[in-house]
Amino acid sequence: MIATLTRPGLVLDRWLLWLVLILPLVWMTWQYGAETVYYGEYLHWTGVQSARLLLLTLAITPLLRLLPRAAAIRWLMRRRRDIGLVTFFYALAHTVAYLVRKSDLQLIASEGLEAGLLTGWIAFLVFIALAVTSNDVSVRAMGRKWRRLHQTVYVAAILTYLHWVLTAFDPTMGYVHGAVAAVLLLARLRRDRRSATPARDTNPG
Amino acid sequence: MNRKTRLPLLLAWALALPAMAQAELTLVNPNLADKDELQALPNVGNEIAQAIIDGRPYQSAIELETTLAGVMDDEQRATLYTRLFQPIDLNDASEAEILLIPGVSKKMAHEFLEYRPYKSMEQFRREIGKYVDDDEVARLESYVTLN
Repeated sequence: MIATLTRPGLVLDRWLLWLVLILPLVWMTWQYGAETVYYGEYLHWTGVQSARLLLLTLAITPLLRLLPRAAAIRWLMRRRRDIGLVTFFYALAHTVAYLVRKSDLQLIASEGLEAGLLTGWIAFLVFIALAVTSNDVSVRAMGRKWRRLHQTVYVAAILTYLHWVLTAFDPTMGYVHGAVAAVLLLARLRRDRRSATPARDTNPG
Repeated sequence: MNRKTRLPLLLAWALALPAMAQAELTLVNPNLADKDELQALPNVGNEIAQAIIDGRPYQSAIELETTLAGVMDDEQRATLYTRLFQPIDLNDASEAEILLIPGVSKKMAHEFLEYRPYKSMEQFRREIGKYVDDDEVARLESYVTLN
């Protein structure tokens, strides 16, 4: 049913998806502004949600290959760029909260050189490039380069989970999410290698 | 307290945990306790109780640590701090001072520092409560103050 939505239906489902995904962030940010949610809680929550949404984004293509006829997965595939953008906004909120809290360039620079934060910063820079080019105009203008650029999401993902593991008080959940991301990356690499190998001609006629 | 001594001390603290769980959370104040109260504490005899009294007033846990370092070894002090402590100010204490709290690792001390300034004890409970259970938060809370 989702797959048979008409054009106005597609616009509506896109807005609904944005609303559902972004409302928790708006609510938490408001709570943080009102000081009913504390800095560490906000930083932790935005970081975890961003990492989970990233995992969802990465899982869509492998899921579609596993279940090519599942309407829900096909719908997610069509909305993958939107989910990626929402992921970026969570990461942005996470970063802005950190920057505002520290409010000291020298401190930010010195902390940024530590492995735990350096991995986060590099991942965030990649996410900026991906977010800025997540639109139809960029897809058309960049052609094949767009695909290559957006494959760097895997690099950003590895860095994100490293950032989690290196900065968390208890890194267990970082390892778990990182392991799932690694499986998705391996599945992707395997698929890419297969498609790069010329298929044996089984139809001599 | 250097790196080499921290691990055995954490181990000693872990072994003392069951006894601590039964003990009351209120700590003896080194500025106020009389000699009898002090002598009832672990590893404190007449000489050490007198040293504690002579070292008054204590403005910080570091001052208490300096006094006791001359009369007790690292392990004895770590055990004593499960019952006697000069509470540290959450917004002012140095990392070295935070590390004197029994069972506080370098990682936990970093978390204490990361969430400054603390505006309320509720903030401390919720920030540190992300990492340890309620009983441990209550135990840590007994070692800190907010001025």
